[in-house]
Amino acid sequence: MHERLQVIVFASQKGGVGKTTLTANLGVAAEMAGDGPAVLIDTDPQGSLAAWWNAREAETPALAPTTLNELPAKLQALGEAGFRYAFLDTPPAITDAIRAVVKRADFVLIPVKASPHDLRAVGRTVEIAQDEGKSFAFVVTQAKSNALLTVQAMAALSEHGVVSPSVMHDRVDYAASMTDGRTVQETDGRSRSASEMAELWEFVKGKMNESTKARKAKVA
Amino acid sequence: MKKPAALSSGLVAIKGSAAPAHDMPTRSASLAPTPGPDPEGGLQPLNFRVGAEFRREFKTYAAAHDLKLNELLRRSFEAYRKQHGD
Repeated sequence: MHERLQVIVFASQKGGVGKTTLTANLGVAAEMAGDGPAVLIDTDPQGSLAAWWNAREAETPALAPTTLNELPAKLQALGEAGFRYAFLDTPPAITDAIRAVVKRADFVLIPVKASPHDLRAVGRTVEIAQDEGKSFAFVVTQAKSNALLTVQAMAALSEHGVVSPSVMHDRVDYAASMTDGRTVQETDGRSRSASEMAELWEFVKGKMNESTKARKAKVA
Repeated sequence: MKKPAALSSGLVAIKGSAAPAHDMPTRSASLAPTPGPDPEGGLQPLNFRVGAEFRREFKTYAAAHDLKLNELLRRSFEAYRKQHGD
């Protein structure tokens, strides 16, 4: 019997917080950690994740084309095909369509920049995850090193939910690696960014295992 | 050891063909509307007559560029003033 497909949705009302970069990096991190096969799904009409994947030489993780209408059936088929994790990128918005995608999630990861605007905007994304009864966590993105603002943002966010201890810092290698279809772990596996992504994946995986266990305990 | 996924045709993309979900509402339409400038004293009517051809072209251009008529007029006026250095 194969394991059930676990679906991770990256959602945030704000644009430019690094959703697509995170989706690509974590998809690759899952494969590199031996947790594949992983599949990426791009629901953002901007198509940046799909463009990144097209520019990529490696075949893994896979990318599955879909429409919103087909999404439930597509996820079912991907699970039956043996994929273990699906990573869904979404556009920056709060709409019924985003809600429909979140509905399919096992876990929602909410990237947040450590800025007052981003912190104010995070509430509506959290509401959707909570309305749909989904486990979620925040990850601080594009953080400046040694910035007090990052610590303050993590403290503020922790009042609303779990915050990833692994922070995604503002480094050139995130953007540079994305330009030719790679991720930070693939351009330099010993870089600090690569460590961040490996740690973030372990955190997300751990959180998903916790919620799966909690769900099973509830059923039992 | 991880096992490879069993792939059927159309389940996953092939290189060069990957595309996003086409039925997701566009980003601009889905974001909360941003309030426009609130001119002092609110909007006032400005009535004058123009030729039929100009009227058609003006309205067609505004519609094609997703602009309100008053916004196109305002931008044209700004551009005109800039061009004439005042």
